[in-house]
Amino acid sequence: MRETKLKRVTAVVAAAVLIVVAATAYLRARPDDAGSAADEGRRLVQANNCTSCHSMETQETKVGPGLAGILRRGKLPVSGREATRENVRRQIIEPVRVMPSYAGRLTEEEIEHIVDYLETL
Amino acid sequence: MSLSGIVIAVLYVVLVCTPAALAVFFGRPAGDFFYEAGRSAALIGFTILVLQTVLAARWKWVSRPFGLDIVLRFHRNAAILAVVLLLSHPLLLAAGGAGAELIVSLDVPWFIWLGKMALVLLLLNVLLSGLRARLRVAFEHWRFLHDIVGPVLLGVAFVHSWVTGGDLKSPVLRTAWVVLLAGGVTTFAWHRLVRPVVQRRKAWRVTAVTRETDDVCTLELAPPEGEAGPEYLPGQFHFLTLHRGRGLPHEEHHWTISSSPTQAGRVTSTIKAIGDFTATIPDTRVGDAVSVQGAFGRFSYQLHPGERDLVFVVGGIGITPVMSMLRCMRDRQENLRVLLLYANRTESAIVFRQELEAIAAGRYPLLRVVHVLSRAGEEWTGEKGHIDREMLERYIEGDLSRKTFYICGPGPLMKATVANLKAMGVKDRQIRTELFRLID
Repeated sequence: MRETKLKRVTAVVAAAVLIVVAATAYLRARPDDAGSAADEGRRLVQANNCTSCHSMETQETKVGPGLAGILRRGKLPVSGREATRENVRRQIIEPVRVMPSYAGRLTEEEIEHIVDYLETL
Repeated sequence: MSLSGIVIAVLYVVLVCTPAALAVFFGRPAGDFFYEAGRSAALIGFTILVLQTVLAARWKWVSRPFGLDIVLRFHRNAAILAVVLLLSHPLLLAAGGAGAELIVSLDVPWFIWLGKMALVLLLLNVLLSGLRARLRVAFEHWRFLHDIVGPVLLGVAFVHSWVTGGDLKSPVLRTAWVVLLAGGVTTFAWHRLVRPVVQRRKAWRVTAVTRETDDVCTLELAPPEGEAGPEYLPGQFHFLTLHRGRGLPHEEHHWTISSSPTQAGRVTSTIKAIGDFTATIPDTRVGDAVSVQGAFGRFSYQLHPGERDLVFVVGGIGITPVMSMLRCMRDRQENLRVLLLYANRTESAIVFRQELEAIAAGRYPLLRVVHVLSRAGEEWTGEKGHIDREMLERYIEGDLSRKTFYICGPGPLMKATVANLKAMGVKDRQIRTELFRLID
């Protein structure tokens, strides 16, 4: 009967969709390298919701500037300081303009890991 | 399922999964498995929501392989699938590293709030649709809300994904996203705004209003001057909007076509007063304009030409598609064997009684009619009670495996008859039904 066929078609469509979700996630997931400082930095960026305000994939501004290639630019986009690891670290602890400070919220080691990650973008 | 049905189903799956597949090649990975699963769930979930406009638009090429009733039921099922995917989206992102703050924190950017709002609107839309009858919300009120909340939800979700979706920074995905939304908006606008205007301009006219019983009326309609009207199969239904004025309600409803396609130049719909709107059908006058959209449905013996031995089990106003089929068989002199078990409450409620007797007395089709009354008067000498298994076994003669059963009527009759037939050994493929209530 038609209602039975509808249930079967719905089940097949739902199963296909869930398989695609899992397959695309598997193909796109970044390899888990527990020893990598940059991976730890990526985890910290996600855990602290940095991506809410900063794009990691482009230079386009969300709330803050996009961070793709941030350490390969001549100057940092908001402070105008030279794009060095030290100035990026300084921006995280003593930000200019509206970015909140992460002093006291991140350890020095964690900030270093984040800068390691930003260097890979 | 027919080949065209399989093609459409496969095309649907391909379309909903395409953005997630494109993201594999053109997007930018950003996290672990759960994080990426959350992003894929959102890409697919949003695409399903946009394609809901296509499922609801009553396009013939979509509905023909399945029947419009089944397409609209799938529309409901697809909404539930979208809810599962889109509710999973923030949960998977949180599990994949974004943290619970993404969900529980109030201190999130405005575009995250848009995402939360889209989820709330989606849940509201789906719950209202699912609980419409229980909440006693009138169909027209529900549809008005649905037509507002749906597009708003799509717009809010689109902006959320456009701003925050990392994959949508890719030009390929951006283009696909815009094309997708434009397609959905265009389809919705055509179905709900443009087509009603076009149909109003090509309105049909009421040419007769005939009272069949105390609460059943037949409207006869003629197409615009110089037009033949669309072709239809006996047993199909159409959507009518009566433009009567005079303070009478103006709503779109679907009713079976009770006339036969052999009766050229006019169609009839036989309508029972079961609610506030249908109670006004007798107030319709000759000359009133009617917008007509149709025909739809797969409840027709003409879709299965090899079947020659038919059993119709019908209750109440469910006689209308059967009447269309019997009239067609009569006019085309089709040599089919037909048993009609026709249930009503009382003798006065039997619709088309004389015409059924006339067809049964004729040669085509070979028709036997058995009336069954659940509240028969003392003078009634026919069958009493309900059509149960004992009655089916008593009247259905010959090889069950060579018969096709068409069932149309109130929900309890249909459910009981299907169960009884299956218990008697009748296979699923021999049983044909149509869901009269398209959305519940």
